[in-house]
Amino acid sequence: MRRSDFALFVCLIICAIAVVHTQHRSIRVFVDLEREKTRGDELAADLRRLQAQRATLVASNRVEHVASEMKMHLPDTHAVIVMGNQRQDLADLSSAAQSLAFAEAVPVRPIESLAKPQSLMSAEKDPKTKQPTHLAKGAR
Amino acid sequence: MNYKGNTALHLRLEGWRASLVLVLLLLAFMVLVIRAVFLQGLHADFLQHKGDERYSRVIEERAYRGEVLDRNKDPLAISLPAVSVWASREDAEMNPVQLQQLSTLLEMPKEDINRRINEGRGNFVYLKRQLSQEVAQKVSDIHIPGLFEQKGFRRSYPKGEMMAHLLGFTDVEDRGQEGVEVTFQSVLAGLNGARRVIKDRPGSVIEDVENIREPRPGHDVVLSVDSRVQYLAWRELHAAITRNKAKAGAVMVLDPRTGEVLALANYPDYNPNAREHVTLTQLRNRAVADTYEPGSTLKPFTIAAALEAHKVTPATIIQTGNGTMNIGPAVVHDTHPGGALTVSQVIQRSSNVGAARIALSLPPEAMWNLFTDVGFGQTPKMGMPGEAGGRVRPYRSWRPIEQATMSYGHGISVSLAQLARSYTIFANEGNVMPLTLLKQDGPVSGRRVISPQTAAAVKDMLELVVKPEGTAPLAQVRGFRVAGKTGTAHKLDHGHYSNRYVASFVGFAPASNPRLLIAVMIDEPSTGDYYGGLVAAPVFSGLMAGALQILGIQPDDPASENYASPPSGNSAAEET
Repeated sequence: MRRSDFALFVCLIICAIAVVHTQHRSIRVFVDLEREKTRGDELAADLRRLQAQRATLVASNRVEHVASEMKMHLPDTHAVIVMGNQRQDLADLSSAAQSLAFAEAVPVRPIESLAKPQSLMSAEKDPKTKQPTHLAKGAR
Repeated sequence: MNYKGNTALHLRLEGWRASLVLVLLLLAFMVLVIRAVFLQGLHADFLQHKGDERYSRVIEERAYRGEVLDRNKDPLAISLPAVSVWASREDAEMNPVQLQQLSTLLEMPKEDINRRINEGRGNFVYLKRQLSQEVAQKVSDIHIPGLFEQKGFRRSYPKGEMMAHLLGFTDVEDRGQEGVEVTFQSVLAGLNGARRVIKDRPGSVIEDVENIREPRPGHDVVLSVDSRVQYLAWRELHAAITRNKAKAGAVMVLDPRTGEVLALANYPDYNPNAREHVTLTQLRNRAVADTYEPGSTLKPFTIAAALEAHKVTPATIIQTGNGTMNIGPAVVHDTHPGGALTVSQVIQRSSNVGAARIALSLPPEAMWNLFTDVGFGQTPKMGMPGEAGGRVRPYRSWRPIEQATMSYGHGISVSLAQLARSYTIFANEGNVMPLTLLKQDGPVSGRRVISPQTAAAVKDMLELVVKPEGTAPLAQVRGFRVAGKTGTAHKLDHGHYSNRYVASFVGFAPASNPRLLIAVMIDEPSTGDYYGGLVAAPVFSGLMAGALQILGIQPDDPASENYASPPSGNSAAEET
């Protein structure tokens, strides 16, 4: 046998072993991939379970039930004062302030920080004076 | 050595022998080729199939059903992985201890399990479907031979009873059966995928052969419903049913600008997550599937038709006399005689005689046209299963007494959904809006049925109804202008009016720029009060106040020092 034939034969053997090794490796990697996919599916299922659980926990009927257990309740009708279009008033005030020359020197607070959602605001009443204790003057 | 000289080697073979060997060899090759063609060509499919059976598998990839979300993306229906346990009748074997454990886990009597396994045809039998994964894992830990698992899904409804009729439910095969689940079945349904793989001996997938079909998960559906408003509707309805010991009830909340359904609640209801003992009565979606005689809630349409025909103005005086009116042999009654009333007062005090007089001044066709234009007699096509269309008889067959009674909502039947939709003409400048269960992102165009002037005039009259002199001061909402109309109707029992009632109220607020329209129907209140102004109006008020607050809608009448004292029975009374 010539030397080159021998070298080729050795190469052939090495290639054959490499093919077997690569095949084996590819199978192992594929199995790993499948395992990770399954894990991904399980995590996605967990996410759904948690979403469903969260939706159950924040459902209004449960929130109200828990609130009643904590002896919380909606303010009595007489403790509610309707504020009217305060947001609009504040918006007008804010735009007026900004249009003034010194507007830049005096920073104007954003309207959102001043105006709470003002559809209905509650106020505790002082039992002696029968007046709201923490309402600003002219709120109504 | 010279071989050529050796004579022993000078052997002369017969020529045919070589030929024979050659022919035999060729024949052998021919046989091989024929066999190869037979195996590779003619029998290839069969052999391939047999080979595949030994190591290749088609596995199903299950696709999730889409979620149902409310308008704020709060999940209302969501699919969770679940497992069904099935048994092979031939292989299933278990000892008494295992049977006891299985019975506890599956919450099934032992006899049931035994019967399922031992009786019936075929080898395959489901023991229990849609188990949670935790329970399925425990079942698998018992190691019972012949018991297998099949993966699937279970639908979960986090909001429970309060959304039951709206959402409906799915069956064990994940197909919609009721409500939104069946309406949007084609959108929500997922399409399972399949792929061919090669598995090794322990059962792990080691190679993908081909992707037969990609799994396609179902699409999510975003409803127009607001689950917070829905809760208020459900809660207020339940409270009213309990307070009035009523048989049934329904509430519907719409956005009159778009026709979006913001809430729809019925009583009796059921828990869609546990439907073992649900009855047909509980399943009934009364708001869309049941029709009833609406009573006085129809009067505004009679007045609108008269205003459109320029027969009357809001200030026209109508003589109601002593509260009775004879039409042939029949008599139309009012509860309290009103004498001379303006058209506005006819609505405010809900005078039947007044409405009947106005109706008789109109051609029947004008009334019929308006009733039909606002959708009475036709299904509202909002997409719920079993929508009722109600009944409006053709105007050609109306006798005068029928025209008169129809003017105050008798002799005609409508569903609550139709009634709610019809009132959008007063809340939305004369436009009737199409009802929808899906969230709308842009403006929705309605169909103009009456002029904006007529709509505004009727709206002003409806505002009077909630004033202290009207039939529904209990419908007031603090800080807001409210418009609405009460209705109280006798129920028909075997063709005759009985002393059982349906109390209803339909209204909207803020009247200056209506954002919410609520229709309430309470069936057979039985504690004595049965007028719409006493039974249904408080539901409207409680729900409207809460919903306006939740949605952050600006009060349009902050100075009102409302709550008027509860009306006496007399002021809330209206003819039924």
